[in-house]
Parts: sequence; C-alpha cells; structure tokens
Amino acid sequence: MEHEEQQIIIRAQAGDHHAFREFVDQFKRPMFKFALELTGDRDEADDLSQQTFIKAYKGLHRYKAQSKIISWLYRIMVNAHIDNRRKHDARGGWNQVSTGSDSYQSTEPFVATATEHNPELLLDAEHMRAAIDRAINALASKQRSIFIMRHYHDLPLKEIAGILKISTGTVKSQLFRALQRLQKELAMFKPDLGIKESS
Amino acid sequence: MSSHDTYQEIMVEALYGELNAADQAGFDAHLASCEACATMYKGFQSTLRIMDQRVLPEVQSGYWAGYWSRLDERLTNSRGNMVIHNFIEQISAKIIPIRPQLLAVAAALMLVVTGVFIGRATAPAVAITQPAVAQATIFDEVAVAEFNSLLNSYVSKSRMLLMGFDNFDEEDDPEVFDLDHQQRIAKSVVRQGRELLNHRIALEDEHIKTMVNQIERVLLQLANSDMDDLGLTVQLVQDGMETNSIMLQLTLTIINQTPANDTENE
Repeated sequence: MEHEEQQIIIRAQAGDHHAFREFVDQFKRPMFKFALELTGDRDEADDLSQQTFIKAYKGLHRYKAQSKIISWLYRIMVNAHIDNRRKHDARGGWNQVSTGSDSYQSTEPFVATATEHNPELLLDAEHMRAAIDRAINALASKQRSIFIMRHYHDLPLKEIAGILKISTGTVKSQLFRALQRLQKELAMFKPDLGIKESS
Repeated sequence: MSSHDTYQEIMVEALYGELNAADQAGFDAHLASCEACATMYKGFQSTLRIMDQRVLPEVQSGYWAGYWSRLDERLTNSRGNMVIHNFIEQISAKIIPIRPQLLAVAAALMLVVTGVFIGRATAPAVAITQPAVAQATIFDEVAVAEFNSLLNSYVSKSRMLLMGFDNFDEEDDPEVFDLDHQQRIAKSVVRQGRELLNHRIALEDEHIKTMVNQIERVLLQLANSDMDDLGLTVQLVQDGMETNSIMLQLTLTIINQTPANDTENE
C-alpha cells in the first residue's frame, strides 16, 4: 500500500489530475474526520478539509517525503484552522458558545442511540455532549489541535512535535494547559474531576 | 525547578503511557507521596474519560459523492492563478536562476513600462495639470520632500523586514532567526507607518493609505504573535504578504518615488 501511495503522489506531483483525485479519495475521510474534530461543525469541517486539499495541491511539488504524507496533511490542516480562527476573531465574529444543540442545528438529524427511549438519559447525554463541545471550543487552536492528535488519533507526543515543527517540550506544556482548561470547563462534573468546592 | 514541577511536567506523558519504565516508577512513587499531584493526575484521568464520550456530527452517505466535484470546482477557480505562479516558478527554476518573486516583479515592471509606452504613443497631446502637491511653492516643496523622506524610510524598513520572512527557509536553524527582534522592528515600522499616514500628503493618496494599512495588519499579526512555533508565525506573515501582493506594492512605490534620471540610486 505504501508503494502504491508513493506512486500516486509522484504522479500527482507531475501534474496528473486524475492521480490527485486518487490522492484525495485516499485521504479525504481521515482528513475530514480530523477537520470535524477541530471544528465540531460539519460545514466548517467540509470547508477546512477542502482548503487543506487545495493547499496540498498547490504545495505538493514541495513535498519531499521527509515525513509521512498524512503528517504533512495534518500540518497543513492545523495551520489552516489556526489561520481561519484568527481571521474570524479579527472580524470579531467568533462564536465561542457552541453548545451541543447549536452544533447539531445545521447538520444531519441526530443519530438515534439507546437513550432515545429514556428521555432522562437522553437529556443527560445531550447535556454531556454540549459540555464536551464547549470545552473543546474553549481551547486555543493550537492546544485543541495537539489534544485531538494525542487523544483521538493516539499520536505520540514526539510525532505531534514533528508534525507541527515545534519542540516536544512545547507539545507537553500545551497539552498540559489544554487538560487544565478542559478540567475547568467540565467543572460541573466536580466529584469526578477532583476539583475542590470553593469555600 | 523542584521535583514537584518535574513530575507535573511529565504528567501528560504518564497519562498516555509514554514514560519509560524507570521514569514511570519514579512518577508512581511521587504520586504516592504527593497529594497535590495525585489529585491533579486523578482529575486529568477523569477529564479524559469524559472527553472519550465526545460525539461528532454524523454525515449522510451522499456527502462523499459530491465531495470531489465541489473540490474540483474550487481547484479550477484557483488554477487560473496557479498557472501564472507555476509558469514563473518553472522559468526561474530551469532557465533564469532568480527568485520567482523577483521574476514576478520584473513581469509587472514590463507591463507598467509597456502601458506607459502605449499611453504616450497613443494619447493625444493635452496640457497636463500638475497635481496641487507638485506646484512650485516653497511650502509645498518642503512638505513633499518631508513626505518623500518619510515614505522612503518606511518602504525601505518594511521591505527589509518582510524580505526576511519571504526568504525564510524551514531548513535553516530557527535559532538564527531572531523572532523577538523581528517583532520589535515590526512594532517600530507600524509606528512609522502611522506617522506617515498622519502627513497631509498621505491623506490625499489612497494608494499609500491602502498599502500602509495592509502592511500594518500583517505586521501587527507578527508583532502580537505569541506562538511558540516559528514556522507557523512565518507562514502567517507570508500568507498576509501574498494575499495583498505587499512586496510588489512596495517595489512599485520605490519605482514611483525614484526620479527618472536618478543615477545615484542605481
């Protein structure tokens, strides 16, 4: 598979548009998933993943196989996400309060789960999901990217450092701060999180 | 740094099982003796268990069917710009060993010269009224000289600062690139730009105002960047420069300011 992947990249670098389509087909699902994890919104994830492939298309001739292609794509996506967020913040329109219900408004109907027949459980589950979305959204873009890559993609800290071209120490400190922030945002679950009640 | 700080530093590694056996043993021993760290560690573990329950929005199966067509349309729209960009890159790589950006500037200059030549050759002879700023009164000449001096200094410093980012190579030792120093210069150039915009001649010149405001946006992003990653900061500056063709604007401003027979500046 790796050899086949290399051949697709070489052909795409030579300008073979069909090869680039194969490249996109190979990576669109993991990249979209990562975009969804970063943004929490399907439409934004769609835009972010496409931005990433456009940037990859423009810069593919510069890829020299010094890192895995997926790592290279991750870096492009993280940079694009940080850039998007900065532009959005500069326009003063970033909605930090992305509750679970807001996130689902413009997306497909919520997939039925075992809780649908138990309204109380459903309410708790929705409450939990909303809290988790808010906590993730509260993280700075870089912290969010690092947390997602470590926690949901199981990438070692050293590999994350290589992807983002930062030191491992920086990754560790950013991840530590991300965890502190998540813990604070999820303070409603105090007994579980070991946060003492304020006097 | 205390041992307490040390163990807090490696806590994230412990959480994800990335410590070697010796460090893990040391960490476990510390937790057994330090209530604060043990509480923090337990709290982080609980937080991660909650984050494990994150659910992402679902997508319908039909979404993927249209994914490539939408991307291809966006690629087609951006490809027009890329054709010129790639052509310039290919020429510079294979034939002319100069930077693509310089080639782009040269191409722009040729267009300007061609346009001027065509204009002079085809335009009817009319009396050209000199703009008020160029009329020969001592007061205006002084103001013009003062403004030109401010503008030349501003353009020169902006170009030098931004060329450093334009020429940045990721392969270079990041220690060589002093980001703090660049940020200090950026703030100085922003102040200089604001002083320039306060000059009464700049108030009448939309081109200067637009260019200085665009440069200020890029430099403020640089000056206020608190990112640890040099590469990301550089990328931000490069993107800002590219979006507004800032280097080209600066070069054309220099050309406009240089008198036709000024051999001293060559």
